[in-house]
Amino acid sequence: MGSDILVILEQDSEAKPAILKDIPAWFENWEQTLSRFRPTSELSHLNRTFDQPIKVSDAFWDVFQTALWADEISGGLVTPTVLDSMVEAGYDRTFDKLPRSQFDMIASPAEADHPLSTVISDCDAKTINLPKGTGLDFGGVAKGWAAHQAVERLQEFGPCLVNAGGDIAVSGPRMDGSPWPVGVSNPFNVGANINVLQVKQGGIATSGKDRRNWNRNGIFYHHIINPLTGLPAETDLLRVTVVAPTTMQAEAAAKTAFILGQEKGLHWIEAQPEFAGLLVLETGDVVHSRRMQKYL
Amino acid sequence: MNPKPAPRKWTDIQLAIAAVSMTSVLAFWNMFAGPDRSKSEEKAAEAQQASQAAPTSAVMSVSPAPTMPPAGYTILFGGTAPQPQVIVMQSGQGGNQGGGDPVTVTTSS
Repeated sequence: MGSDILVILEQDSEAKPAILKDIPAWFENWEQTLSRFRPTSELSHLNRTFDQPIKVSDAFWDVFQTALWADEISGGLVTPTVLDSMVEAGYDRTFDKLPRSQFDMIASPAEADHPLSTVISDCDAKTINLPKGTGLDFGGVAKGWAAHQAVERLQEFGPCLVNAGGDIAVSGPRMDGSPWPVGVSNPFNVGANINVLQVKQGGIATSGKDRRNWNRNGIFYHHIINPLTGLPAETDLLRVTVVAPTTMQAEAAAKTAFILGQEKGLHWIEAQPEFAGLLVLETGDVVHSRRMQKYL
Repeated sequence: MNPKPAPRKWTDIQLAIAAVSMTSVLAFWNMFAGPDRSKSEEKAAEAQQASQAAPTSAVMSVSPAPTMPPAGYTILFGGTAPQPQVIVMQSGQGGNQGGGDPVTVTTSS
């Protein structure tokens, strides 16, 4: 996932449940299933095939279904078929290994990505058939899914919170009934927070161009691809944070609003009855959606 | 007066003997190898008939992924093992009710 992962479990005693020892293995298995950076992962195997149905694991199928849902609610803006554009943009290795300044003599012209509807899947057989020239990258949806899965498994042992690289899942209120205080980091002031959100249950996710970005041929690039252009999204927003019933929803919503830009993005969040948004503009201004007030 | 013919050299005789020997070896080889080859052909034909008569019930398993990526495919390396930090917090620790220090922070993922 290329991210820091934090798991917090609240207990009324010092005893540590044995299940905590399994947590690293969970994330390792998910990495091995969903990472586009591991040649041996299930995702890499699928991306190397085309025009033939490939049976996938339950975890992979679950994430694929989440990606289908994200594609649907975002009107195709959050889709996993942006892999080729992501690689073309220069994001062809894990971010810690990515040169922050790149120069290419020959750059391929950008093209719109294949829509997810060109990918054929079979619910009964749990197979996925990629057309030639299409690869998948689940990106933040996979992180959100992993955080959600970890919380689902841990919540029977006590109130818990899982943060997978900024995508946060919260099982429920803390033992005293209070919400979990979650900071929204300030992109202009390292170590400071814009707000501290009080979240009792659900998911929180942030998408933006302030962290995973690089310079290519003198042009600013970032990792959120607009599938309509095949290029990093051009937007007046620096980042968007969304609180939603699940982390996957929050992740998809944050990315959708980011690509849409301030005006359309805020309008889109307001139109979703279960979402609350915090939008940070390039200028540094912060805009809250109406429902975000209940978390402040 | 005709010139006197050159005397035969010993090497010419050796060459002649070698040629005759090789020809003989090949001739005998074909003579004796012939029946064995026909037998082996018969055996092969029988084996083929047997295999057609009793088809195998084994199912060929097809690897879901080719051993080599298709042309133009880029292999991306990386994906180090995640190292989750696990904290067990006792009730009442970390963050104050209604505000205070956050237990964690959301950043751009």
